[in-house]
Amino acid sequence: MTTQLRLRMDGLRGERSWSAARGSAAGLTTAPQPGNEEASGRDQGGVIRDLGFSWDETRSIWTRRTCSRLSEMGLSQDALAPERIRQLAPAAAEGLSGPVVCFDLETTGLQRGTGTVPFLYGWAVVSGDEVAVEQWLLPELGQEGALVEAALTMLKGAGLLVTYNGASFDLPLVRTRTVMAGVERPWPAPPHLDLLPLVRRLFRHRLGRCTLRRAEEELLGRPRLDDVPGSEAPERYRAFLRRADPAALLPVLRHNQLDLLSLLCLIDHLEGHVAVDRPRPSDWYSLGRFAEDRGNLQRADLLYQGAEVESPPPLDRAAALRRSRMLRRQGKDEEARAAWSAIWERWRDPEAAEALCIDLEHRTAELARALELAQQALAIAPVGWDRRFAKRIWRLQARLDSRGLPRPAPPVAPGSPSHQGHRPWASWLPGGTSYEAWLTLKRGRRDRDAALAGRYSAPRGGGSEVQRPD
Amino acid sequence: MSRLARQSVLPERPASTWGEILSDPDLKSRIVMDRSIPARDAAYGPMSDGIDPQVRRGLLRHGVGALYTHQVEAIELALAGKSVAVVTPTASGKSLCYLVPVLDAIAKSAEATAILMYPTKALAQDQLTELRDLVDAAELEVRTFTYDGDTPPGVRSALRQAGQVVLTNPDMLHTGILPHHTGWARLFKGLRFVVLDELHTYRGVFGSHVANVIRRLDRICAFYGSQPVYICCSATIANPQELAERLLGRAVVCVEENGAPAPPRRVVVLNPPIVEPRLGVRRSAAREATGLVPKLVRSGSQTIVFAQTRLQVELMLTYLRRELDQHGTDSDNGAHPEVRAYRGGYLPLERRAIESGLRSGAVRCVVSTSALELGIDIGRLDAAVLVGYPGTITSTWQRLGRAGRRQEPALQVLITGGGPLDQYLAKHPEFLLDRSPEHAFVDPDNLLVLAGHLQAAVFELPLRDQESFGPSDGGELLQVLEEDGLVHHAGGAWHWAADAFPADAINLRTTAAGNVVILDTAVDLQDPSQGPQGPFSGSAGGHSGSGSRVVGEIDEWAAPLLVHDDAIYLHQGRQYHVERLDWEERRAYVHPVSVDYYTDADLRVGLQVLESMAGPLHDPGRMTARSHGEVRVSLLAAMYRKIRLLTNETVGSGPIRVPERDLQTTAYWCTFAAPLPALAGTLEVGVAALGHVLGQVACFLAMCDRRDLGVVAQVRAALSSVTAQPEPSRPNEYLPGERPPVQPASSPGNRTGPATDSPTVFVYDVHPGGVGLSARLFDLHQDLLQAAAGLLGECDCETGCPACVGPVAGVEPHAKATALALLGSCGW
Repeated sequence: MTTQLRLRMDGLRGERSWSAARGSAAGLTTAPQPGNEEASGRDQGGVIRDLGFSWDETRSIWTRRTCSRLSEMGLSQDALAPERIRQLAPAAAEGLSGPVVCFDLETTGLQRGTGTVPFLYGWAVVSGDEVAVEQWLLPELGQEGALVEAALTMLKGAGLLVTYNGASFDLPLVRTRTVMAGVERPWPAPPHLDLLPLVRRLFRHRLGRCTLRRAEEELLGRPRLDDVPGSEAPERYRAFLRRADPAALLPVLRHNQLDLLSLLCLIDHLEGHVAVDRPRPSDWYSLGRFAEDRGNLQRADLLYQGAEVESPPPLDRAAALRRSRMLRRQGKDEEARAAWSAIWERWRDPEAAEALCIDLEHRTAELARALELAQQALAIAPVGWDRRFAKRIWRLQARLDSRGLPRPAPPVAPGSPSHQGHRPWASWLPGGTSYEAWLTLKRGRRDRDAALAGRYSAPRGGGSEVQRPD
Repeated sequence: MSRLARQSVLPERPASTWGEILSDPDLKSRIVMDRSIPARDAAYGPMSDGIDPQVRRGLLRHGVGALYTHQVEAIELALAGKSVAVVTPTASGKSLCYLVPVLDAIAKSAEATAILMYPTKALAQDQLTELRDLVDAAELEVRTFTYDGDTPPGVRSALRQAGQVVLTNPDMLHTGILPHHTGWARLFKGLRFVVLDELHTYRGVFGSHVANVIRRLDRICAFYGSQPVYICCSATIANPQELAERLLGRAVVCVEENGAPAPPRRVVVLNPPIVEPRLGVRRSAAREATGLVPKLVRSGSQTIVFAQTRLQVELMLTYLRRELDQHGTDSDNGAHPEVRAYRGGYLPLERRAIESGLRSGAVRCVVSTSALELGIDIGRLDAAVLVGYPGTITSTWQRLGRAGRRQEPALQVLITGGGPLDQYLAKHPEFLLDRSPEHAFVDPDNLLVLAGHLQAAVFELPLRDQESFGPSDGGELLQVLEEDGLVHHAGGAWHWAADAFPADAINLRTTAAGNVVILDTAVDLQDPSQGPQGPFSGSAGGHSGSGSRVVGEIDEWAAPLLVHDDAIYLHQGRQYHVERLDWEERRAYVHPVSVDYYTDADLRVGLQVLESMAGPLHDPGRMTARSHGEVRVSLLAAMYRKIRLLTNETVGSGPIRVPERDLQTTAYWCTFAAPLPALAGTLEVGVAALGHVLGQVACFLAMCDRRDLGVVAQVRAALSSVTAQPEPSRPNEYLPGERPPVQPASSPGNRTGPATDSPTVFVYDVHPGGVGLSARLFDLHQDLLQAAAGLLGECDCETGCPACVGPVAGVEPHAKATALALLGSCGW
């Protein structure tokens, strides 16, 4: 009966794809193809028991428990002590008043919105050396109420919740399901340590995509060999629903369990990493930023200096710039000036030139030197910066003229190959470079900016928006 | 009202000069109608006692001392919990009809919320200002905001928690709000009113989609236990109640008695003179407007000019600025910033600047597409000039209504173009004043539309077995979806089971998937020294004002015609040369140039009958037969021509390389079975001419927009096909008003199937699956042929002109005679 309808719809669709989901089942090798045999013929409870779940009377959910030990995983209990966790997340470790609980969901999809349902809630509760992994299964779509209730209770009792991307995926999803299931309870909001932002901050330059799997391979040195990818979980759960096939779901249970235990190993690794004194060459910069973010400026200073020496470009330059900015914020003007000078000498960086120009112009009032430097900088400045230097030069010349001081000669030969292709900067200054022109336009700053904008039909990005590596 | 307050500071406009301009003897001879319509007085009604006193005080402070009768009626119905549709002309104070009930509800309960839906983002932004003015005047604490594609992601979650009145558009409701309804629980729990402004825009495929979005909205409201009242506002259409009830799926009370005053108006219809008497070719409407508009602008009248297409807008802007240069004394290098263009594809900031320039009076003249037809607040203008008939009476009045808000006299000019509709209007200008406007069709149960929204609905909330969504065969559709692995049945309900976000697969506006972004490569070329990966490369986004790389966006249907390889793309009067159209990535790379030509692309249309659902029914005593069924139309932009500015001569051409696209839809077709051996040589143009005529009269008789129908004429459907005035889904955006002849298409692929052996004219619905137009044409078959014969016979030209047989066949000497002979020998 449905065949005719299908044909009609396929025709109407023409060559356009209409459903994002079509073809998602393709490419799955181990999971069975969708079939029409309904699960109804078989004892569903029996199948779930086969997977190792048992019925929890008090909470009305299917649970599956397995136990591990921290010591077996090569971890000591100290790794989860509040003072060590505080190194990673000062706020999360405040008033640690319950067990550390790792949390990870397996869902019917990765989409945001109300159509994505968690079918497996995975928890790893640490008490002493013991790690109790609890997994809760949704036996059928539309029966989430008890699961959500139980999850809220678990979250409420957690002393510290550890997740990977929980802040933007798992926890909002639980909140959504709370509303969908009609459960009216306050949101527990436990202290939360999301490892994904930390891994991103510290290792993005090494990992690229910071998936948990990449982190395990690269950081823990443990590739998962016989694991199914998490992206297969939705299709496997559908196979389980349709055909009550325990074989489809078993690898997902294992995958979830590995994820949970990995979180504990990852915490240990991160704690060690942020305390290290001589990191790998490429890690100096990200560790420096980590220290700076946590207010440990002294350590940040050391790490940035290390980066200037040890790290490959562009991290060395980025670290040097960060350090200079940090010094300026701290009010260490002398040190900052020395740092900017060093950067200008070594890399001819426009930001350093600008900082030095500001210093020369406003602090020491050496207008001629400021102008000279600005002219040098303009000759090699990238798009976006050139406009800033042009304005500065214009203003400095006007100030010199008004005081009757001589202008320094413009740079004879620009020092950088990037000078080629640049237009002569003087032609960009509306009204020429005379003091009168400056005064005329000064009256209407907006006019002048508009005039400049007109000359610059399209600079790419403003100077203040110049991107830097994190 | 705030608009009134803002406008009162504008200087008086010298109305008398219009008399001089219009009484110019040269111009006067072309005026086919000049009607002065006196002002109409306001009819006020008593303000209901049911309205919260704070809101009433706010209205007073806002400058609204009394309400018009239609406002009173609508407000009372809404307060009584009845869904209502208000149908009154532009500037009749429609927004108060819904703002008062909404604010009243919030004044009485802080829990109450409302969704105000506008067809465009710009309109929502505009209405927000008005709403906030009223809220301030009433000294109410109401958290209002717009939630649309322009809302920064960073503030969205805060808005979700806080908002009481949310201004949005159907697209955002569809992808941004409904699928995430748990985040909006507060809004849906307290939802008292849902407002749909500009209801008449929700027709055709867009309306069919919106009707389904409303179905989904209703389910979610039921989930949160709210039962909102719907308030709709519409321009005048023939069937507002039917449209509202089809869209909303519930009974709606119509309020049509207009109590608002109208200013005195002078409505003028101008028909450009014939410049080539033998062919009946008239001077173009755009040229005529170029003569008239500068006079109006110089006389101090703030003027809005509506052109038909984006291309025409840009050309008009160029012509107008040149014209002003020749006669003006204050020329500033020909820049003329007081004359602006406005159309889709401009970036929001650019548009806001033009809107505020119009309100402040800094912009004296704006050339626009339909983009300014809807109620964006651009203040009151003195004169409106329409270059060509917009295709519907509703549109005509919406556009003309831009001139003359309030009590000041207004000039409203329609310059007719060369097409049959335009020339029919020029011969019967009273048609404009007498004829009831068009019907708006929607088909919420269009299978393709329904199937998409059914998925979205299941994604949002499981669909219980006893629950219905649309027509009764939802069950069967769900089974198909289950076979695809998208939904799963369990516990007496259908659940979403796929890793997909179905709303993303549905575009409410077009059948196309995505817009093409137009990028200026000249920006990159300026800085060859910095690779894009360098540590100091700027961001590539278009956010830094004048530093933007993004020139604009263009929809997928228009892109092959406007930004194909080597096209000249016009944007705010600037010319860009398209280096490359990356069809896969949906990007067009352009750089600014200055050349003396523009490009115009041809669209080839092929058609194949898939299934005949009715007919062929033979007309008794005649040689014609009618049918109705499903067809597949293939659209291909194959070549373009370079046309020199002003002289319009062709100076070159080239191919366009984009994939052909298919449109499966419903069509009505008429077969002419008369044996015509003597005419064989000219049959092709004759049939094309007939197709053109039939397409035009079909719009009259079905009372639909010309752009809702496409026409294909085939001499022998099995062997070859001839394009006749192709009209794809949104030609308003790109088809030039007066297209030069389209070459007879070589049969595109092997798509043409053996439908008939006789000359056949197909009139199809341009939306996939159709929205019910072709079935109506099937019923109107005899009237159609009679009207076509009449139109051909009555035309003054000798051998056919653009006004009767269309621009394609108009230059062929035998087109008209063949078409008439064909009709005649078939008995018409």
